[in-house]
Formats: sequence, C-alpha cells, structure tokens
Amino acid sequence: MILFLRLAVRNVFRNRIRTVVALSAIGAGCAALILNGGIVFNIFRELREDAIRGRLGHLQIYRRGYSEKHLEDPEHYLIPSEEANRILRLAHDNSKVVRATRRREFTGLISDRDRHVPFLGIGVEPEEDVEFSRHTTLRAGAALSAENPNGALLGLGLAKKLNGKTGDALSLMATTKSGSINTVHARLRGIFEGGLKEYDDWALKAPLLAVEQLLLDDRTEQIVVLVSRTEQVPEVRAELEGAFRREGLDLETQSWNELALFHNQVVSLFGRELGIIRLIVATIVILGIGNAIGMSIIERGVELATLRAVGIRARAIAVLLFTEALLMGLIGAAIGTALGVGIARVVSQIGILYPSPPGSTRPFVGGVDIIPAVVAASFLISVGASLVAAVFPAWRAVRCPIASVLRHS
Amino acid sequence: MIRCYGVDSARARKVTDAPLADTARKCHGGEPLIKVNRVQRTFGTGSGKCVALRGVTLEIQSGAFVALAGPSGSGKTSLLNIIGGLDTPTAGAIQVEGRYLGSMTEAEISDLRLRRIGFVLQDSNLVPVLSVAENVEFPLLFRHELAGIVRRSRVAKILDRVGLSGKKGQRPNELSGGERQRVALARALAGEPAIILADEPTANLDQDTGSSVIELMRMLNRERGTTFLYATHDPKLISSADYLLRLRDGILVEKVA
Repeated sequence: MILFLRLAVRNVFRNRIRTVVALSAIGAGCAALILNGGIVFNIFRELREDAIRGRLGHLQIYRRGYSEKHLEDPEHYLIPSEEANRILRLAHDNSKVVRATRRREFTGLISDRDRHVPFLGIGVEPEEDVEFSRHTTLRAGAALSAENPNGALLGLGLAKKLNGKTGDALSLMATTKSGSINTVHARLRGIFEGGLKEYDDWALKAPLLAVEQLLLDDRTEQIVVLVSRTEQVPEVRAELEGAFRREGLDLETQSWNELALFHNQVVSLFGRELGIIRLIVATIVILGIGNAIGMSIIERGVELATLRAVGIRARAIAVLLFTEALLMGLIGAAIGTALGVGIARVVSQIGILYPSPPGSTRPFVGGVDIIPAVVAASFLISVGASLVAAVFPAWRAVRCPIASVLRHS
Repeated sequence: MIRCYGVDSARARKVTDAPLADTARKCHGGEPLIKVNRVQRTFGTGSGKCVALRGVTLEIQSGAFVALAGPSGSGKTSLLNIIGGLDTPTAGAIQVEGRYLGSMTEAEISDLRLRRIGFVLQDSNLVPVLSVAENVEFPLLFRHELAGIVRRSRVAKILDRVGLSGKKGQRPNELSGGERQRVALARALAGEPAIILADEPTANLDQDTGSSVIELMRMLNRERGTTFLYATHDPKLISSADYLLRLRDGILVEKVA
C-alpha cells in the first residue's frame, strides 16, 4: 500500500510543468469559487443588514392577525400603551435582545408653504432608533432627538419633492383616531437616504411623541426588536413567543426575512447565479485538469499497458490513476483555499466600492466574506472535479487493448 | 498438425502427427503447460484485413526453452500475446495449465499473468519513478498472500540472481539497457511464474549485454525449471533454445528440436 501511494505521489510530480499547470487550474478554480461565493455572500450580508438596520429590525411584534388584516381595519390591531410597555419589558428581559422600540406607521400630507405631498410616516423613539438606523445615511442635518420632539426627517426623494432644506417649517396633516383632520407643525431636522428608492421617495420619520400628538392616539402599531446576532433570530423569536404566551399576550411576530421581500428576491437571483458560476468553474477545472491528466495517461500508455501485462488488474490501474487525481485535487484545492482566503483578506482590507445594487440608491464599500461552508464546498468541488476529470482518461487507459498499445509502441 | 516439445532438455524430442492426448502423455505423462489449437488472428476488415496467424497449433511442456523465430510480421508477437492473454484469437483455443483462456474473465486472466505467466517485452518499460527494487516488487503488491517481508526477501534474492543487488535503489534511467532488461526479467521472475513469455528480449541490446541476458534466462530455466517461450531474431538466442518454432506469414513452418 505504501509503495502504491509512493508511486501515485511520484507520478503526480513526474512532469513538473504539467503538474504546475494542473495544480494552477485546480487552485485557480478553487480560489475563484471561494472569492465568488465570498463576494456574493458579502453583498447578501450588506443587503440583509441594510434591511435590518435601515428599516425592519430583526423581529417585529404585532397584535395577532395584524399581518393579514391590518389594512382592512388598522384600528383593531393597535397595541395600547400599557400593553406595549409590558411587551418591551419582556423583550428587554431576553439577554440576546439589544434593542426594542415602539413604532407607529401612518399616512398623511406634508405641506411646505404652497406644496402638499403625501407621505408615509413612521413614528419612532429617537434614542432607540439610532441603532435601527445604522444603515441609513444622513444626507443633511442631524438625526432625530428626544430633546427636539418637533424635528422630523424626510427621505431624500420626499425632500426633493418639497424642495426642502434643513430648518424649513413643515405642516404634517393626518386623520386622527376619531376621523377628524389634525395638523402639527414641525421643522425639517434632516434628510436621510435609506437605500431603497421607493422608501426614500415617501418616508418621513418623526419622534413618536409628535406622532401621538398628530394622531391624538398613544397606541403602538408594532414593537421592533434588534438582537445581538442575526443568526439568533429564530431562537429569540421562539423565546419571546413563549414569554408572550405565558403572559397571556395575544401577539404575532415576523422576522426580518419574512418582511424583506426585495432582499429575498436578490438572494434568490444571486444564489442561482452563484450556482451557475460554480458549474462554470467546475467545468473549467475539469477541462484543465482533464487535459493534464489525459496527457499524462496517454504518455504513460505503454507503461500502464506493461503493468497490465505483468498481471496488474485494470481496476488497480484505475485506482492508481484516481489516487493520482485525488492527490492532485487535494494539493490543488489546498493551494486554492490558501490563495482564495488570502486574497479575500487582502481585498476586505482594501474594500471594493460597489455601485448601488438593483433597486437601491446607495453605493457601498464591500469586501469578500470568508464563509466556512463556501470554502469547504469550493474545496470539495475542486477535488471532485479532479476526480471527474480522471474518469475518461482512466477509462480509456484500462479499456485499451494491451497488445494494441504495446504493438504501437 | 499437433506438435509437442518435452520438458527435459536431455530427453527432449520432436513428436509429430500424434493425437493431442497421446502426445502429451508421451512427452510429459500429463497435460502440456501450453496448448495452442488452430489459433487464427486477423486484424482489420475488408481491404485492410491482415491475417497474423493462420491456424497455429502447438503444445509446450513444462520446463521447455523454446525460441519462436521468423521474419518481422510473421506473427511471433501476436502468438505470444494470445498465449499470455494480452490479445484474443479470432478463432481457435488456448489452454494454459489446463485452463481455457477463452472461458476466463479479464480479471482471471490478469491473475493468471500475475501468478503463472511472466512477461518480458522488447523494451523493458520499467516505471521510471520507481527504483529497481520497487519496480520488481510492484506486481507482487497485488499478491495479497505475500507479506511485505516475503516480498522484499524475494526481490532481494531475484536481484541478486540477476546481478543487480548493488543497484536496487537506482532509478531505471540510471541503468544501462542490459541492466534495465535484467530488471524486467527480475520483475517477470519475482512472481515465480511457471512460464516466461519474452518478446525479443535482446533486440535493443548490444551483443555482450544480449549474451548475458540469454545466459541468465538459460540459467533460470535450468535451475528453476521455468518454461521460456521467446520471440527472437537473435541467432545466439535461437541457438540457445531447446526447441525452435519458425513462423512465416502466420503459419508454423518449421519445428526443430
């Protein structure tokens, strides 16, 4: 067995130039898979965090039935202030919850002297909202502040519609709980860009206190929760749902990925693209190494036929050739992994300036994520491709009539 | 036509026109080691058809030292390949140690070559990345009944026998042509086969080296009783044989004891 392995190892390094070419093909393929996967996952992560820390949070808590029916009867699904405080307390009791805050969404008209523009308003708690707005870029002015309850932020598109500048006086109009129209006066404190054009064109953010004054209602529409790590969301969700049940609170929760439809579509699209790239790279590796292994086997045709002539079974010859391909695959994949991880680290240090992703308004600086599952898959694909590449040459080598090979030598 | 060549060179004689069974009994008192019965081999079809063997029949008893002579293209290599199971006849049958090759699977024929038939080719075709000792040991790896220590002991003995014990660690490219051919012979003999089939083993060697290989083959034949059947053009190798078979255009035209 040792001699068998020794022969395989020596055969791998027999023709150094060919070995270098084959290892380069495998290594480059493996590195390409790691980098491609790392870039795609980095973009996914950026989009995900954009959705979570720009708009949605990790979890949203509503009255049961809100998701399906709140458009038909929004009043029915609002949470009274006292109940909202109980929910916040329960959320804060969970050690994995970093932030929990109340929100109230509403619609209305905004007027700036002679212009009247509809908006989608979000009432937030200014201190808590900072953490939920990390992926929101402030284009002008300052963030919301509890000390300035009448200061409102406008999305970039909405500000353009109003030709608004920071410090401008605004009038916000909305329908109250009783059905009458109410107005509050506010100042344009800042202009933000959330990354999603449709959102920026309509969004207005104002302190919850001002919104309650406008709507004449202190009820909450949703509690938004941020947990320490995105991967913990399912666990925290289950724990919170358990706690709500125990407290007799009839609530429903939705996680960010159920709400981020745009993110899900992009992930689905890019995920498929990643699969196609993997297939293309695996094909290139198979062709590259197949050529190298094929040449090596053709050159050694007489030698292999002689080994069969002295009684070594065709199957053993095939095992020898596959062992060589496996060794080549393992070495090439190891080189490719080192190369891919090394390049990923360097590129992440430097950063890549990406243009705005589809539907987004904001370019971002990304890197290459080193995802263990992607690295492992790339390694296995490269080794697998090496073995697949050896199938045809090995099949030919063991099916070739011995006498014919020896005669033509 | 059926011919049989005896085992003992001292008592060897040419027997002609006798029935197969009778002949075998007369020669050896048992089954011949190799029986070739009306073997034909044709390559290609139509206008490109080439007939290499035209109904060759012969028998070889154990311990014989037989030369197979004839001009190039007369069918010597084809006959050796068919006897060794490297090729299959278009018609006719081959028996080695009483077993019909035609009824054996490819794996069984491989095992037969591994254990009972040694091959020496015109070019030694050694594995260049293995040392002399490793080249000789490599086929023995597949004889699972042989422990490592037995294999290495056999290799040491056979290398000593062919005069290469001092070069066991060297690679084939560090050896002369004659030395390489002796390694090929050692590789064929290490499995202690009953038969050695050699295809022009001295063709690529100078006269002196060729003579040393012939002497070695002859010595191993006498000492171990290994049967040798070799194709050759070499007059020295022809004159060393106990029996000479001459082929022309695929027909066995002369048999000399």
